[in-house]
Amino acid sequence: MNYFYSMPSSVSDALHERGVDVEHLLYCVKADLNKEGHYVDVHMTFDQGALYILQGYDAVAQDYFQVVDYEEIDIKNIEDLYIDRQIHTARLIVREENREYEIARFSLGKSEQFEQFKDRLLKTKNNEPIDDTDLKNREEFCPKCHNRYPNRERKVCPNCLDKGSTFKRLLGMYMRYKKEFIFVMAMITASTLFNLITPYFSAQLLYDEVLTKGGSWYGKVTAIVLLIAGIRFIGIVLSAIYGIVLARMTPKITRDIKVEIFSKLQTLPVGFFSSKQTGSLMARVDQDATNIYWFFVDVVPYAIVSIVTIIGLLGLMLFINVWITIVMFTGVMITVVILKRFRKKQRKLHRRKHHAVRATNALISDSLNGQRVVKAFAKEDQEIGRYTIKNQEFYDVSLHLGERSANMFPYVRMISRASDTAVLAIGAFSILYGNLTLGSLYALFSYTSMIQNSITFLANMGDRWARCIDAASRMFEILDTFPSLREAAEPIQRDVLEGDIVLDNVSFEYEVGRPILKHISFNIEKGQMFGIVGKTGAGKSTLIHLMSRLYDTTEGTITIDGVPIKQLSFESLRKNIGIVSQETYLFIGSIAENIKYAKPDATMEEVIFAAKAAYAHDFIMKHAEGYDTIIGSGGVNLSGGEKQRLSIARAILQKPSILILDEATAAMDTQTERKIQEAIENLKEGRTIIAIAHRLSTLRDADKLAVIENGELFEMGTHEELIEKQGKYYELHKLQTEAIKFIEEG
Amino acid sequence: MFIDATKVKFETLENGFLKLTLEDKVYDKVTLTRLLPYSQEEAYIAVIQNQEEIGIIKDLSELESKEYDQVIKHLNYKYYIPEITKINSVKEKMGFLYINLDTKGGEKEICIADFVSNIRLIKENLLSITDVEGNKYRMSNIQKLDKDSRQKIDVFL
Repeated sequence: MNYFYSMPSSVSDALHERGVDVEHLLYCVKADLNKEGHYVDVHMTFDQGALYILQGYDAVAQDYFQVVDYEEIDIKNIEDLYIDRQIHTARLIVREENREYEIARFSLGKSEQFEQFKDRLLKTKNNEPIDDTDLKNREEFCPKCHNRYPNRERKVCPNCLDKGSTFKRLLGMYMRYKKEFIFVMAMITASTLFNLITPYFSAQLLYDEVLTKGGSWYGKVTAIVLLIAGIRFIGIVLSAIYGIVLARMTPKITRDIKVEIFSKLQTLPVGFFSSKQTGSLMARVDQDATNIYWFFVDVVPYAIVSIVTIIGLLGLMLFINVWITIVMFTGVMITVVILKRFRKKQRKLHRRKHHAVRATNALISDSLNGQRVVKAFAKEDQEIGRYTIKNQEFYDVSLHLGERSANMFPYVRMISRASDTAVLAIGAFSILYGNLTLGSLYALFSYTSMIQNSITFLANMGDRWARCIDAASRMFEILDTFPSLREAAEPIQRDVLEGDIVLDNVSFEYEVGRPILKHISFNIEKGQMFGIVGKTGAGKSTLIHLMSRLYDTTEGTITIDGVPIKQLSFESLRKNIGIVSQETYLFIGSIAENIKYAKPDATMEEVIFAAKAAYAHDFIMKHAEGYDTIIGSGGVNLSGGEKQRLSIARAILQKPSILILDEATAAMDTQTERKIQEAIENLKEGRTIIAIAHRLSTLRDADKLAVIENGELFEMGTHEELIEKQGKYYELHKLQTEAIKFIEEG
Repeated sequence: MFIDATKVKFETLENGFLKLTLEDKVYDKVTLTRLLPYSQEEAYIAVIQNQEEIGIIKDLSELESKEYDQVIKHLNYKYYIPEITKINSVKEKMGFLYINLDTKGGEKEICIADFVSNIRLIKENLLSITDVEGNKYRMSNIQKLDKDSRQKIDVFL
């Protein structure tokens, strides 16, 4: 039994104790609520004879299931089962001969599982075959912690993922540039060593040997100055060399990462983008790559430098004077720990500030973009009020941040000064008693400052490392996403699709628990004009999305020319299906480039012909730059109707065998709409056209019409047949006719 | 459009739906929908049968006490959403938030993606959280959260 979750052995034991033959159980599902809304574990499973419902509490660690209630329902008594979706929960209701009652209640997110479970139970009862092909590739739960994978298309459990493995993987990307990496690390190490020995020459040697009478270098000022300069110079040169190499190497890595991510994004299905804000996706591509960039150009090299520095300096300092080293080191550690805790809270406040800034900017954008509406309703004062509130939140958090910093730093400085004073005192006495030289004391102060910087860096590196790993994980999430909507392993290639489309029991939901289409079946013959009508939100556009395989059905199949669309190659589909949707999207580029998007090798003659056929040529000519006019974000703003005409021109140029028009003429005046319809008429020959329209007049000549209501196929037939039927289509038609009459008479 | 609340009789069926008798007309298996679920929980309640609206009850206080009790029970059941009482821990892993919280229905650990969209203050103090499975959780008044819980969640608001 594989579906729909992994039944713990404690539960199967409990079922076995109640006489259930666990070996013959077919499917299982788990509900999580009782009637009172308390979280319980309700295990439901069935075999050929009965449905078993075991309610209680999982205690996986102790391998014991605490049973609260148990019920068996003879499968023969079950006439039907259905899911009643409520607002945030759902319930499974069983219908027997004389009664209907609830048998399970669960969080809405489990609705899909329960739908599949109840379908299989009913099929088992009716001895119908069950197809589990779609379920075979589903592994929804982490085998380690048994939590569901948060991203179903990526079988990675953040709970169990070893951060080290992400780091190693990231390092692997870095290691594509192995030679440069080794060279940089060698330079860093050498540079660090030179930096470490500098204080010895500039303090100890200078004061104790050159400037002290009797010293081995007494009087040799020039020599020591040249030596110090030479050492510093070498250190700087080494730093410069590795800096240059690093500066060349790391942008290459981030460039490669960004291209890799963007390329992967292009292969992901539409559903991936509709579930995420486009803005946050773009932020990932940019911000996360930048985080990783800074980690490798800044954090990793300086982490190595810091570790080498700390080890080297501690050794040197302890060699010079143990007690002073201990006091200095203690002082440094105290300030580092205090600052680390302080920064942790500051980071949270910065995050809040960042959110406050985003909220304020979003409001500004909202208000300024909607100025027409603001002024039309005289809501300027209200907008000012809204902005003031949001801005106040920003002010509050900024003030809090500032106050904390102002209070913290004098305190930290005080500890640091106290430590320095103690060292000075110990050092002075040590010099007086002959245990220490002046030069050594100066050297110790220099080393303290170097070591403090290194310890502080390492102490704060943890957070930057975490941010980098999170950034890398988010990027790998995209790179690793194995989209559920993907091409078949051996897709069927068809240069030309005739346009025979069959929908068989198609259901679909964008969001779990909220079905949009329910069990729709119809067919469209090739060369037909097929109209889909219905109220707003009925599911018409969704049908189009499914037929063009921008989404996959939740249930049921769609075939084109007898081939399931899941078997057809994406290339065959995209080549043969042209869509003109109500939301037109034009890319940044010239008008000509936008029209040619469907067929990049089209000639200008073809482009102009398509533009004329779409009645776009005239308005294009009105722009001074004609077909070279730049449109899209930052370019010329076109009206809705103009955009739609360009979109139609694009579709006309493509010459697809299946043309889908989703409210293609919605944004046009009646005159232009008529012209477009003529253009479409000219395209009809040998083409299957599927059109959605609110205005029924535009579909009058359709060969067949389907009326969709609440996601179901309500009626189907020609215009005349549906008028005669006097059903939904007739009502819609009557409404629209009366409205037009009213306007004309008015 | 508006139903006279004094003429309404409800009967709760075994399957949890309601049977409505309104001026001698019987409507089997109706359900109720709050038109203003956040701002007016006991006013403007639509009565629906087979996705068709029968009418709207303007104010539940106009109902007889027995009908009122049934209606409230039905609405509370339909609109049930786990009410958060405490936030025990928040861990961020690979861009997902794992939150262990106490609700009135018991303890729960949830996973949240894209917290900017899925942890939101809908009204001034009304917090709504949506997990990766699409399940929702609510804190009716975030001011009533204890200090610790508040600190843990504030960062994400």
